[in-house]
Amino acid sequence: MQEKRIEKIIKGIEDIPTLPYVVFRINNALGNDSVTTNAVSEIIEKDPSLTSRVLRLANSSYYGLSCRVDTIPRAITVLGFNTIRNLAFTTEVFKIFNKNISLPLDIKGLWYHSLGCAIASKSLIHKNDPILEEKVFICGILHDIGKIIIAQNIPDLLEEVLKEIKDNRDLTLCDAEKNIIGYTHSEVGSLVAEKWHFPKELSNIIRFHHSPSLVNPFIDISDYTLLHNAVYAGNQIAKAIVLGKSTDERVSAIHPSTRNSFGISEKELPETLFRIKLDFDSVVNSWELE
Amino acid sequence: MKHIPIEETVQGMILAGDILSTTGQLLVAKGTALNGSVIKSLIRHGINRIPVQSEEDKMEPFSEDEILKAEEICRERVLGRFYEIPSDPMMKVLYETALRIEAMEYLRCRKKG
Repeated sequence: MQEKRIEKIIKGIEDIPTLPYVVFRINNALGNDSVTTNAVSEIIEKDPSLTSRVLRLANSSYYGLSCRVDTIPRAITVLGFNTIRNLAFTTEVFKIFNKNISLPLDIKGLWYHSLGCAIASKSLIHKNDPILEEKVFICGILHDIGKIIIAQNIPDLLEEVLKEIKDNRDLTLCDAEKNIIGYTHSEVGSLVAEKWHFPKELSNIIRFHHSPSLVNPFIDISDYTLLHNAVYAGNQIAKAIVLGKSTDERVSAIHPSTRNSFGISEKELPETLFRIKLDFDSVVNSWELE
Repeated sequence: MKHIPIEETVQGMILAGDILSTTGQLLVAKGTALNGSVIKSLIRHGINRIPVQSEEDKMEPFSEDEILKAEEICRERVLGRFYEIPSDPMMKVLYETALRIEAMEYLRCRKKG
C-alpha cells in the first residue's frame, strides 16, 4: 500500500513540467555579471503575458510614478532586475500548478500563503545581499509545493490528513502526513526543487522548513542557517498575520535562538510585520495572480 | 507616526506633519514624499528630527478606540491560531501585532460592507 502511494507521488513529480523557458532564460541572463537591460528586455518582450504583467507592475500605485511606463527597458529601470526575476518566477510557477481540477485544498489560498512566506522571509534578511534575498524568495515560493503534489496525486489521503489535524489539535501536519502518507510535504517539495535543478542548499531548506536550525549566539551564523531560519520564521509570520491561507493555519513558536539570526528586536518587530503586510497587499494587487 | 533623526531618513518616506522654519514659515508640507533635495533642504534649515509616517499609519485611519474594540472581537480567533499561548516576549509581540492587523482588516471589511 505504502509503495503505491510513493509511486504515485514520484509519478506526480515526474509529470511536473520543467521550469518555463522564459524563467530559465531570465535566470541565465541575470546570472551573467555583464547583463544589460536590453538583453533582459528582449527575453521578456518575447512573452506577451509577462510583458503586460511587468508593465502593469511598473505602473502600479506601489511605485508611485508620475508618468506612464510604456516600454520594458524603462520598466526594468523602475523595478530592478530582482523584482523582474521574482515576478517571472512566481507567475510562471503559479501557472504550472493552477490547473482547473478540484482539489481538497484551497490552492489559491495556499499560493498566496507561499507568496506571503516569500515576502516575509525576504524582509527578515537584513543583510541587503541581493543573492541571499533571491534565494530566500524562491524557497518561500516553493516551501509548500509538496502539498500541491500530494493533493494532485493522492487527494484521498490528503483529506484524511486534514481531518486528522482538525480532530487532534496537538498533532502537527508533518506528523499526520508521516502517519498517513509516509512522506511529509516538505520531503516531497524538496524533490520538486531537485527536479528543477535548484542547488542542494535550497532543496534542503524546503525539506527542513518545519525544523529551524538552532543558533549559537557566540559564533557567526552561516548564510545557509540564515536562509533556513528566515524561511521557517517567514512561514510562521505568514500564518500569524494571515497572508493567504495555509492548509495548517496554526503558528508554531519561533525559538529565541532562531530569531537571533535576524537581529530584529522586540521593539522593531511590529514595524517589520506591518511592512510585510503592506508589501504583501501591494504585490497581490499589482502582480495580479489570477 | 514616528519622529526620526534627519540622517536616518530615506527617500520615499512620507512626512507625517508640516515642517516649519524657526520663523514659522512652512518649509515642507505634511504628506510630502522625501527625496534627496527635500532632505538636503531640511538639513540646510537646521531641522534635526522630523515626523514620518510609520508602516502602521499607511494602513487605515481608524481611531485607537475603534481598533481596541475590534481587537476584543478578534482576540479569540487570533489566539486560536497559535499552537501554544504566546509566552515569551517576542512571540507576545508577534501575537499582539497579528491581533492589531486582524482588527484593522476587520474594520476595513466592515467599512466596505
